[in-house]
Amino acid sequence: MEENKNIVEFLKPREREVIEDSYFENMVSVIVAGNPKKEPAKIIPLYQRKSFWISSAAAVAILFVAIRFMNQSGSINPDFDSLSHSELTAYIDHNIEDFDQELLAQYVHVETNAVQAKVESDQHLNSSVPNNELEKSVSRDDLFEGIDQKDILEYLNHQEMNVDDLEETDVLF
Amino acid sequence: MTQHPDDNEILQLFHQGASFAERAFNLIAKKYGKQLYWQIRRITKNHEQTNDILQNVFVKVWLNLSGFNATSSLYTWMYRIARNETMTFLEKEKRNSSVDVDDSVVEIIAGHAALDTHTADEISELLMKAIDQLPEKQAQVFQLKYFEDLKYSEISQQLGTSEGALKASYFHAVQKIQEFIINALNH
Repeated sequence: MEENKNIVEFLKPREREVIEDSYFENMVSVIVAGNPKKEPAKIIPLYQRKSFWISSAAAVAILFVAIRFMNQSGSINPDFDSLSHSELTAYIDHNIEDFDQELLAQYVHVETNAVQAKVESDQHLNSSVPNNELEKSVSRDDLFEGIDQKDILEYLNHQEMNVDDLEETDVLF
Repeated sequence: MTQHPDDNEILQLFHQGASFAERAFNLIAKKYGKQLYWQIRRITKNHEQTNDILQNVFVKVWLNLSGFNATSSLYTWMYRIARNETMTFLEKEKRNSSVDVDDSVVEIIAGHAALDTHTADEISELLMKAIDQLPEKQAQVFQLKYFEDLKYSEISQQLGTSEGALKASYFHAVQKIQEFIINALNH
């Protein structure tokens, strides 16, 4: 009876149309012609991509520069009072070497001119040497007090810096 | 029945490349094309959609066969591709337009009271839903045995499973299908 039989036994697969082999052959031909055989797509992990490292490095660099900029812009008026004299001296010694050489060269140059001018002024009462130049040479005496000009010239020569190469504009402050 | 070359022979031929690969691809299409076609058609119930889906399946097979690692049988691998492609296709089609279905997959044999009041289309729909609920192996065995009318020895060769295991799978599949259909008809 029906209770003893599985329900599937009361179902019969329907007759179906015949699919010719040529149908599949044509499909294969179209696929092979239109889709040449390719290598399967390779999945490259993110950390193995060159662009990943480049963009990461760029991001870090930008972040670093931005943080520095923000820190600098946040201290436009540094509190010099909080710095000790030795810290300031160390900073100047470390960072102002080029300017220092130039200052020395100007000093020597101006000093020479001033001496020459003073001699001329002694000879001629109406001296043509500007007073301010003399004043400068005097004021610089304070700066380079106790330093021999020969030592300065020797130092500058050692640094391969020629005093005569300085332009007039460099000489006059 | 046509004698087809063994899957391993086909794969060896494919790996020789060039025209050999194309020949191997042709052999695969001849050997499994009809089974895949009807596997899809039983779900779509429409030749045009089946044609589109099958073409997608074969494109994937052609492009990826070199990476086939034989952890499953070749048929199982293609069965999965076909199933996924069918589901994806139908999901898209559901949003676009409805298509005409052309036929049911089964006829009803008189004699079962629960079936007498339903049409073949309704029962076909339930049968396909029931198959869809089965574990993959049982679904494969049921379709190959019930619809394709293959012998257990042939299915065994195709799936790489012993005949005893196949008989057990088929038995369980039929039991589950009956349970599903009866439950559906009673609600």
